Amino acid sequence: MSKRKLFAAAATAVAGALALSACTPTTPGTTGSGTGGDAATPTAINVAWNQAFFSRNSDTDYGNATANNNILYMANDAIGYYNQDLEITQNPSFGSYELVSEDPLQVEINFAETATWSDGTPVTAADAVLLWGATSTNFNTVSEAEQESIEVDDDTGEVSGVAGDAVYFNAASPGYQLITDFPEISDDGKSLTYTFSQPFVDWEILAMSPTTVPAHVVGMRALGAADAEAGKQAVLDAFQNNDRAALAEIAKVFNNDFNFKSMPTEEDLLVSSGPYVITDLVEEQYITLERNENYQGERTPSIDQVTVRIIPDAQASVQALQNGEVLITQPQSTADILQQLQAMDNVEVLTQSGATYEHVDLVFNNGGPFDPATYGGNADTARLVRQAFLQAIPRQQIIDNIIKPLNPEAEVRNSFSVVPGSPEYDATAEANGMEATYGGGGNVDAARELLAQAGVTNPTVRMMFAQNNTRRQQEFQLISEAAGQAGFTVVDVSSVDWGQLLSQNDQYDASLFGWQSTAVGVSQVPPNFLSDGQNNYGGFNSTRADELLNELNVTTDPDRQNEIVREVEKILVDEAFGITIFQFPEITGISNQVTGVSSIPLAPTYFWNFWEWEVA
Amino acid sequence: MARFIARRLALAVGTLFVLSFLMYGLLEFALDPLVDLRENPAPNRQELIDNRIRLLNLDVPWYQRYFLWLGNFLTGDFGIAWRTMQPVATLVRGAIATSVQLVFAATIISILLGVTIGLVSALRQYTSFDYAITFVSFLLYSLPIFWVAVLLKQFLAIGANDYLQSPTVNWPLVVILSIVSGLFWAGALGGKRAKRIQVFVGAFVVTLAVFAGALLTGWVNNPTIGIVGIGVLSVALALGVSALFAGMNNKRALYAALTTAVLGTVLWWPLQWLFFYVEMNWLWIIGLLALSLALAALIGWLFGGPDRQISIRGAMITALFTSVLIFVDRVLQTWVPYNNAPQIRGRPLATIGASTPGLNADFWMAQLDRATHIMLPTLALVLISFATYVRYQRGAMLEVLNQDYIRTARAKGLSERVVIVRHALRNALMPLASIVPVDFITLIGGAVITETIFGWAGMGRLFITSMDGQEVDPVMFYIILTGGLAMIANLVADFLYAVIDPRIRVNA
Repeated sequence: MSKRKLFAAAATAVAGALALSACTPTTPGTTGSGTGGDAATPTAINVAWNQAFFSRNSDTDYGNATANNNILYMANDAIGYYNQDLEITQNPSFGSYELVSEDPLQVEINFAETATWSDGTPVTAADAVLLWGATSTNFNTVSEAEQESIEVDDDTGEVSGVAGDAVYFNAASPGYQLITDFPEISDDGKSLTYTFSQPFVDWEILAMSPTTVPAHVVGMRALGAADAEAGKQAVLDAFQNNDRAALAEIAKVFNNDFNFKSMPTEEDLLVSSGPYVITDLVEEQYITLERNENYQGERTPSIDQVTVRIIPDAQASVQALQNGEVLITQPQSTADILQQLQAMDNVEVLTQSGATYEHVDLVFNNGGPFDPATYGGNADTARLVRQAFLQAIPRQQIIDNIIKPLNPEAEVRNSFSVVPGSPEYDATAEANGMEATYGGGGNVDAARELLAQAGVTNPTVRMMFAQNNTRRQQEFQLISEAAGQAGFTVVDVSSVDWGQLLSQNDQYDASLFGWQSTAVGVSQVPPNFLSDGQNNYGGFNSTRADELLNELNVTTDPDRQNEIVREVEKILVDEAFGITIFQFPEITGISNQVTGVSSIPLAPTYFWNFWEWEVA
Repeated sequence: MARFIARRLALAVGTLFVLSFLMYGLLEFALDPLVDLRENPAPNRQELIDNRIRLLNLDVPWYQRYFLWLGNFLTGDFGIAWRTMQPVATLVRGAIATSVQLVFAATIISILLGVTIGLVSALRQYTSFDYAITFVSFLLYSLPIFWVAVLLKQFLAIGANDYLQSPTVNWPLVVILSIVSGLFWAGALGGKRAKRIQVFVGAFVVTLAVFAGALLTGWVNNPTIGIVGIGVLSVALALGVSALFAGMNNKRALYAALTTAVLGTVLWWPLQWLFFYVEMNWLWIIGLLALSLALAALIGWLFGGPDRQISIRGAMITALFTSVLIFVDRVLQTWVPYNNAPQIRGRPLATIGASTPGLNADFWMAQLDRATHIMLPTLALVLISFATYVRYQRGAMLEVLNQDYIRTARAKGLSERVVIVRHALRNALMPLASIVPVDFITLIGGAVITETIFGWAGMGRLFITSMDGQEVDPVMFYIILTGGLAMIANLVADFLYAVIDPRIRVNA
């Protein structure tokens, strides 16, 4: 074959090939994208979270995790929610609550006509009764001895070992435990009244979200009820008549059925009452929620589809934000991450305080430098030593060096029990005198003077904190330096097992760790400071504080609650119980493709106003 | 033989038992399932703690708990990840699949690339090419993957996506890449100075032309291969395969490969209609691939000749390549709709996850979506792991090249191609039999850091999450699985070696 023929053949082949490729089927576009032409393309947003959703029921012991709560906050409606100032905002489109009487404490909950589950069934008292019954522990018939034998079946995740018709709800709520009588239910089933056996301070937090999983679904699954109405009635009857056989079935469904990490085959498990319903769930990858067509409430979102992608790695979530794969992220805060976010165009960065706060607690009863027993029972000497140590803690320096790089607006936290930014914070911080007494801390001269006054020279303080936490190591450096100048010898007794060691207070004299606030309510306060409180590791003991805290436990009047908290905090500062340092910083990166996003220190953080988000 | 296997298996079981006991004990000290509750100020904390102690049998000493666990494990009950109440069996099913998906391609590419470059490097021993490869492979080997991954994301995903929004030709970069390509080929092909210069210029021009063409014609925003591209590439490969494995003098082998290439190219057209009318799935694709390989084998067989095997092999390699091209071509046809999808919005290269949530994709677009997600993690894994293969293969090849039988082969006047491909290469590949099974089976253990950084939920991530969550059961499953598989892999490697190399006997 000559060269010319070869070229001719090649040219023919190419021409033929081109001709052939011209008459191939046209590539179909995105197959059936959207609702087809006439409707506008649905709006969608992807956001990042660091842990995957794993239970539709966040009211069991193990289901109660932020990863679930965030999703359910969007999927379930509630009567009240926290706004940006951490005030409770009412949502009358779902319902309302009312304090009927203070003694006995009676709370009435009304569900609005517009409160509906996503399958069209109205939300009624039965749904509330289910939550109360399940978390009250009053229906659990399993004795302590029997409970020993309870096991969770590994293949089905089922709680087994519960003998016969024994009832065991794997859930406990301190508030609902106090409601021992069956609530009074109105004829139309739309409202109910709880009567507490003793006053409960945070009744409002209970009443804010009175439902969890839908009672009719539980009734149908557990008791084989034929329809939604029958399902609700079956659940109500079971609790009202304390029908052990039925309750045992209900408990199984409540404990087990709602735990899933990928899309369940039974759709009734996804029924929810909020603006969104779960429509897709891929294990450890993402969860998608779409607009609930049956939602009639007020919190109507502007975005049709919200996908929460699971990105555990902070760096990865920041790069995903930069690449437009997610539009909001709240990564674990480090100075590097913040710098990276700030360097990005088109990204707004919010730096603010989170829910956890750092503090130093002192030990009163271990024979150490802060224990009166060391000084022959001289309480004044011990108090002076405590005050000296707290004076030396360089609070402002810790914030300037460690926290400011992450949150330029960071400030010293001056209250033991009130979250900064919440309505009561300023008044409490002023009343307790912490600011006035210690200021920014690091007052070496004042500390030295107090020590001299106490007549104690060179006391040794063993300080415990998490050994594997660099931030706390840095804090310890600053504290031991300043306290050293003031005349203390500070010993590092940090441990990776610090959590376990907290209750063994002979191992340390001062502890440095964080408490996490989960609600604005005050029922979290007494356990920390009561002389027999479960979180009072340091053995702090004050008769007056105990009196006040026990009163707080049964006070429902918010004004009186605040008074008590202020007075207790004053005692804590005067007695040099310990000191609070800072609120953990929190960074939120928000793409400029979305507007209306902000974050609050408490769960559900940046999801709090999801219905106000808008995508460009 | 049977005694050997029995002894090895018994040893493996014993080792696993000791391993699991020790690990369980270590985990007991390392993990504290109550840690989150200790920091929880809730008033009902004691009840929560009691519930958890009951759930996890924490009131029983750990060695008793170990035997409880062992009993369950042996009866096929792998326990639960108590934090999410998910049975371990269901968790690992998804995780293993994800890990294999992620690491499979990376391992294959590393082996192919590493072995090839290692061979060439050995053939060009002590040239600047050899030194450059040694330098680069050690450099890559020493890079930390979390850093490589972050850089890859920054430049090849975020940067590339930005670039795709408004592509302009970055001439200095294109020229530099072309020079590197020219140097690489000149060094790899070697020869006299004149030939090297020729190769350099050729490779430089071709690379420059390809880059410039792709960028200037807007190909990067609508990448396709098309029937012409498939034809040209297939024929080029057919020529290359023939030249390398059969020699250009073996006309039958050459024609078999060329016929396969042309037939494959022509079949592109009816296949477009098949793909249009029939909803594809992996079963179809594998079936079609098998069919094409069978056809190629038939073509090779028909050309026949004294050495049929060579023709058949050449044709089959060509068919495999052409089939892959046709597949890739069809996948690339979905590029434009994919790029315009509301979930993509013109940023096709992903940094995170295994797929785009909510993407409304058919089979082909789903493959494209998978490709855009798997590209970066694969690249990261290849970059740092192929160095091992390069070094390994270079050493093996050099050792073989110094053998007496190579000198004999040269002395009896065989062409250099035959000496290298027939006599040296085959023997140099033997040691791979002992490392490839191990590498493949450790895939299932996942790539802990890569998975975390790229947001893939594989075994590595399961391990880390379970550790963080203080969950003993999934961690123990991971340990038993990886430990057990490692032992099996070594056993397989020993056997494979014995099968390939007749000098070795396993009867001991």
